[in-house]
Amino acid sequence: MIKFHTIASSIACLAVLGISGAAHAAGQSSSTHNVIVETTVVSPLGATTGQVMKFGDIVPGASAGTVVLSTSNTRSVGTGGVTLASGSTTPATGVVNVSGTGNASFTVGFSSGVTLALDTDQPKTMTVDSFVLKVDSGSDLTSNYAGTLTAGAAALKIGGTLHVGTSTDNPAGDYSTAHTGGSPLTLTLTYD
Amino acid sequence: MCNFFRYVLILLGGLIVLALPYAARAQSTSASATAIVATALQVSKTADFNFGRIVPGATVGTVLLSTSGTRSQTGGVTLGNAGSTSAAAFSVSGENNATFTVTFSGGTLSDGASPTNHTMSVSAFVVKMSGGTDQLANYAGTLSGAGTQTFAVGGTLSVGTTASTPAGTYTTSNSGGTAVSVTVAYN
Repeated sequence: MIKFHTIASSIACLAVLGISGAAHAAGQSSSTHNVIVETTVVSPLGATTGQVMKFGDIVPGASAGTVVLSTSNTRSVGTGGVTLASGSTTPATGVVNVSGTGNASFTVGFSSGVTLALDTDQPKTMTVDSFVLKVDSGSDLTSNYAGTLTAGAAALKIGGTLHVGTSTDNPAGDYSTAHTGGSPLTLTLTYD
Repeated sequence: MCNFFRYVLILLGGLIVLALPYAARAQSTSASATAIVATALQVSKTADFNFGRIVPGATVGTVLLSTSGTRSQTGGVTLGNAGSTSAAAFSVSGENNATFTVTFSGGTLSDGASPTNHTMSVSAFVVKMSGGTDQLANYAGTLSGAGTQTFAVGGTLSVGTTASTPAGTYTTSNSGGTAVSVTVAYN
């Protein structure tokens, strides 16, 4: 008799092996772009005085008054007791020549408290305000002063109003912003 | 993983040797693999850098362009009209919620003048992801649940004196210039 013993042991090994893990596609994982960088360089605005403002010869009266200097070298009495005289000084509109870049536009600021002082120890003064600006062949501007360069240049014509006191306030003599006690007219030019 | 089976043949004094191999069960294993194909990363530029109008001075200086397109300066350069001032801007799309990095290279602006051009450089980039804060280095971002993101880039322009920087339009695309190269990559 044959006996068969079979012993078999087996460990069920029907295991499914799962391999997991993410693998990103090797293709489009980065992207590069070229970016343009730009700036415009402009020359600083420069200004030179072409002509000093000259109100010419005036005669204060018994009451205060004003003298108005135009942008075309003419003057007139604004108000009050001052009269004009045709003396040795020819009235002249102020001229400032501006330089910069291209056809850029700019604004003009006038300093306040412009004061002319008598060239002696006496504290006799007159003030100037209400500036009138004419840029190249443009029209007269009395506010929001602005202009445009043409090929990097512009000519500013400047007029204004001189406040004159009585003959006691303003005795005869030369009055100028450059004298001690005077305060200059300063223009501030700014690119827009 | 082991599996074994053995079979034992017992012979009992028989003259007959019978070999009865144990039925070998078919051993099968199967392996499956999965891979995620990531959505391709796409970047498009929606704005270039523009530092607007500047006025060099007697000493060197810098113009800082913020990620919101505003400018400030140091040193001898003056800011002119803002004009077309703009921070650079990018739009990114790719795998939902993926993280990415941003790197920069290059950045020379030239006026393209001949025979010798004049240059200035841009550096120290600042990156701001939409809804994020300004990053000064190790620029990084995360795509939204919809796989998108936008970011703005500012930087610093180094400006010479009026002597070395005459008037003109300076751009990276002029002869003598080098574009800023922006690379966006999945982590």
